[in-house]
Amino acid sequence: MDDLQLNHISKSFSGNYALRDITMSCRCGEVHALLGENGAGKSTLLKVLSGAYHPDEGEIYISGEKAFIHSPSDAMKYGIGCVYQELSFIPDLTVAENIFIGRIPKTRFGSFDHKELRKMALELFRKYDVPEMDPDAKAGMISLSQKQIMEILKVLSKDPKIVILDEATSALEENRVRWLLELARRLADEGKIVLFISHRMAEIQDGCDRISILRNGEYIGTRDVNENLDMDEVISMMLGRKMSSYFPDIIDHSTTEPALEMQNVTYERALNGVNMKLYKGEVLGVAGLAGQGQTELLQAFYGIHKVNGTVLMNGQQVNIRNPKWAIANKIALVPEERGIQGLFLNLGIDFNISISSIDKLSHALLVNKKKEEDLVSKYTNLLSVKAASTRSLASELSGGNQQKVVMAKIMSCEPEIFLMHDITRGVDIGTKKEMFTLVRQIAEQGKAVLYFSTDVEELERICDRVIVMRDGRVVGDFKGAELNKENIIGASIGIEERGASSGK
Amino acid sequence: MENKRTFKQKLSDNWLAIVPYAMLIIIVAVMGILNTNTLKASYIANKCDNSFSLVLAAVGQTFVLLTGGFDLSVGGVICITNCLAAVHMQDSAGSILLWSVICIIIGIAIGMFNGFVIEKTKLQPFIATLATQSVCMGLALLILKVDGGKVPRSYMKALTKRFGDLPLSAILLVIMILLWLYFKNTKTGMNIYAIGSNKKSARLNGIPVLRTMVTAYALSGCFAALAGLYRTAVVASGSPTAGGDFVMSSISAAVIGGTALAGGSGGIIGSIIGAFILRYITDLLVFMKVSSYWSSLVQGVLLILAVALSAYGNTLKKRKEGVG
Amino acid sequence: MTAKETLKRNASILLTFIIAFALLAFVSVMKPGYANTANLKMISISIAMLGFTAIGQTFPILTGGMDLSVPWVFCIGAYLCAMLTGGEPAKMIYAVPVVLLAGLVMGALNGFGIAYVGIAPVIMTMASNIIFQGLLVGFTNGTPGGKIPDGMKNLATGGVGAVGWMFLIWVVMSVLTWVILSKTSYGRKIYAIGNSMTCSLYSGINVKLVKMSTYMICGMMAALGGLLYSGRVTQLYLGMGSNYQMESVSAVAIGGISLMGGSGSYIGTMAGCFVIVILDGLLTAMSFSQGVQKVIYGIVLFLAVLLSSRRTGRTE
Repeated sequence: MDDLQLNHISKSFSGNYALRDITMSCRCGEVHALLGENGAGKSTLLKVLSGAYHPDEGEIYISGEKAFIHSPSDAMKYGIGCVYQELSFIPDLTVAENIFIGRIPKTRFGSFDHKELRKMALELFRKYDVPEMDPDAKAGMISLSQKQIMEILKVLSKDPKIVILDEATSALEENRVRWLLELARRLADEGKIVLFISHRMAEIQDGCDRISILRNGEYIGTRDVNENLDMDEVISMMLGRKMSSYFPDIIDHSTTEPALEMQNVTYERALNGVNMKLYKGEVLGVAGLAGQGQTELLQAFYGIHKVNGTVLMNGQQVNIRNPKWAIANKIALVPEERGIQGLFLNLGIDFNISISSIDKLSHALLVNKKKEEDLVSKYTNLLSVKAASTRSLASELSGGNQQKVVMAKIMSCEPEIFLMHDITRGVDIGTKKEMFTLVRQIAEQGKAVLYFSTDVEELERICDRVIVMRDGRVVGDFKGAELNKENIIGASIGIEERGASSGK
Repeated sequence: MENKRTFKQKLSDNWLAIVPYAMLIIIVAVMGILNTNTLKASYIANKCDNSFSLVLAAVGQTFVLLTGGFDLSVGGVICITNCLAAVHMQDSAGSILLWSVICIIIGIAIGMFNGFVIEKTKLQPFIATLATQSVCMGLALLILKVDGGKVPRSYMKALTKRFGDLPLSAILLVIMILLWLYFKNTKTGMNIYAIGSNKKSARLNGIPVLRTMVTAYALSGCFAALAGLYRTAVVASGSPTAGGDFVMSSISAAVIGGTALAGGSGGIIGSIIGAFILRYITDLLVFMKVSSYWSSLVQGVLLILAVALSAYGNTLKKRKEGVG
Repeated sequence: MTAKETLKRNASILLTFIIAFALLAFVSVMKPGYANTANLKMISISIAMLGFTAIGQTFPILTGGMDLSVPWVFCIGAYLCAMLTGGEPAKMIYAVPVVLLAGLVMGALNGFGIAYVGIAPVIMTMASNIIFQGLLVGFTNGTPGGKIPDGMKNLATGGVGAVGWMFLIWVVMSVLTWVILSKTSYGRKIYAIGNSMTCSLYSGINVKLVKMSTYMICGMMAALGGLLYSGRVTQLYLGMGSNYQMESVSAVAIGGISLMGGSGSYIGTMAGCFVIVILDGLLTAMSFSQGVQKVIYGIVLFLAVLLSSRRTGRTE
């Protein structure tokens, strides 16, 4: 028997199986990837392991002994530590307090020993090689990438035997992704089990020893990661059908007519003199390490930030005052945080889709129900949103379907310029493929797409041209044969400075 | 590796926290210029005694505000304890002690009820404590129909005692601050901040939310009871309606002192300062010969200015966060 | 939506209405003669009076805010009307628009502080409430008085049968409110803001403007309430709106609108007004002491809000 053995695990919610008779195993000393589309049961399986859910049937064996996991604290006792996809830090406490919450050392008077706490935190940072972390900074004030690292350290500080990393790389900066992959390897070498979940194939190929695939709550199979691994086979195992090609073939439709342009634009510390042009009919990728101004670039074009410098739209100088203005002038943004900026989670799909064009659907303030229904059904069909009804709450949808609803809302405004912020983050492969096709279709219609992604491969395969940002400036501009991963990553980390920083 | 924050950094992060102190100093200074008597120890001692009930109520309120809640029932608790003490307390050490303990227990019980109900039923604190407030006010009226009652002399003397020019209330104030500094660094203290900061995360991190919420509201009830007891000694009578004023002014004091309504940041020292600002400003208006009719207007403007400033500070902070 | 679904969704509101009428039936049985025409008319007028402020309060609460400045805006509305007319009915022609405008301006002050400066609604409106108090008390030197046109008295106390004129005005305004909140794009935006301010901004809603407008509506309704109320009393007095501060919030909450904003229906608020006023009348009619009245009132408020929030089911 292996070191972590799951036997016939089943779990259902109100009659629907989320997990069905799952039997699989992991060995000490391996990094084991769990693959599957959204809704395949990965999260449910993790929650069974971490004690958040109790399985209806089945047993878990750890080092050959039956484990009884009924609560998160039980899981901790068995040495299972889980870094969840949603961050769960407390913004007003310091980094050190967050990491050691519940285990903060005390002085002999019973109050907290801040000196000792600081020492423990610094020791932890040294051990895992994150010197830039400030133990006394408020957790709410550090960057997203650092928050994710903080969460990882919180789990590691408990010295777990089994480490679960659920989409832990999605918020990390590029160099920290490598750090995490190396860390996973190191933990495995120390004899731990690392369970790794990611939607990025490259990471899985780089950092994992074995892959187990789930589909529709069922266990499909396990493959070793080596030179014989057939990625196409893995993908078809996930999807249950043969996938012709993961990325679409692209035909360049870009024109020489600029849709959006920035001339020497600055904003706080985020944008330090940006010069760039986005042409009609083009998909322009935005690359770079996390936090180099990409988010602010997109938000500036959407009127979220008041920037200094010149912004031009269709050759005219404009002042993009707020999102309302942007939408009225045919600019639309697919925002970074789907659940916060993109969707009203407690409201229905119909409300979510029609809200941005509600004024157009109304006559003398009264909403025309018929027009609204037509609009909603048109775009839910176009994007094939899967839901019980258009009244279903957004919170009840899977990640991929939620992203489709956001996309439907954006498209119902009929924009000419699309700003897309990492639209495939946390989205299953099937939906990813649909999104890629959609993005290319939009460009084909002569519309402009500014496409930010943290996945370099995606940028390489989807975009006509890619600009790279570093330190709030455009430091690279690649097109055609120059558009490849090496150039993008090189410019991101500043090895080769190529292309023009003056736009094109 | 050593990345200690510099003093300047700390200052730029926390300049807002200094505002209430500066405000109090300015008010006291202006009063001193208008009337030098106000700088005398005896005046300050009196002020301390007169403000102490509000200080206690504001301190209690702060615990609840820190969790991101509200306690409108402090007024009701003050009414009940004020009336109970004025009606039942006899002039003997035993009776005084007995009724003081009963009052405090009642305050804690009401607070625990509030905390339990709010956490268990997910009712909004505003509405839940509004209901408790009504019940408490009603109970106070059943104890004492109109203002009155007889307060034992020895009780009054004991609580308004002076050691030279140093009032007992000032000593209690210092003790309270010391206890707070300790409390802030205990598990319960941190849990209160954590819940106010992000309740969902707090729960995920294994913080006992129910227990902490009950504790915070119980502390509020306890301090409201103390405020009622202290008011009895200062005013020397009971009133079934006097507590009503404390609801809004305790929240005002805490907010002026820098506690955020959203929870998670602030503390009782600010609230103490805020309570003194509110009490001093009334006197200042008298000295400036402003008609008492206008005084509520000035208080309102002051409150808006204080919170507008902290709202402005928060936007600055958020902007930093967004980019940093 | 089928009729069954509609019923299911609105079951809590229906139940609240049933509770209100059960209370009324109870007191009629306990006190024979209580439910006479004159008394019922009185009750209907009281419901309308609370109703005007509750209409206003519904708007900010749906965006996740609250307006605690209702009492002194109410009071200013009444005093302003007396000051402008001096008892002459003809002057009502311009007195009414001026009073409504004053309400809008006071509401705009609240809305500006909340939406544009970023002050927490409870604090902002609490502070503006005492500012308005200071203004009115300062200007009137604290004296009661002012003459109201006689026509106002007829309007405020008269009616047909058991239904007061005021009640009819309220019903008409309620229909209007319901249409605004559930059928217009403006209503959609209010619900959107109550659900998520950030997402509303990203969806192209002018969040600040819409938020400010809800306080303007609330201010206008409070001033209107004061104006209409002035015909009901023999003499204006400072503090005449005090009850409406918490009662308007309670009516909205009892009606099942979450104080977090974004969910619930205005029809619920109407039910809330019925419950509060009828309960009030019951407690007085049963000649309970003031203490007992407050205790019972508190308990009923608690249970009513608990019931309606349970059924609408939105937590945290």
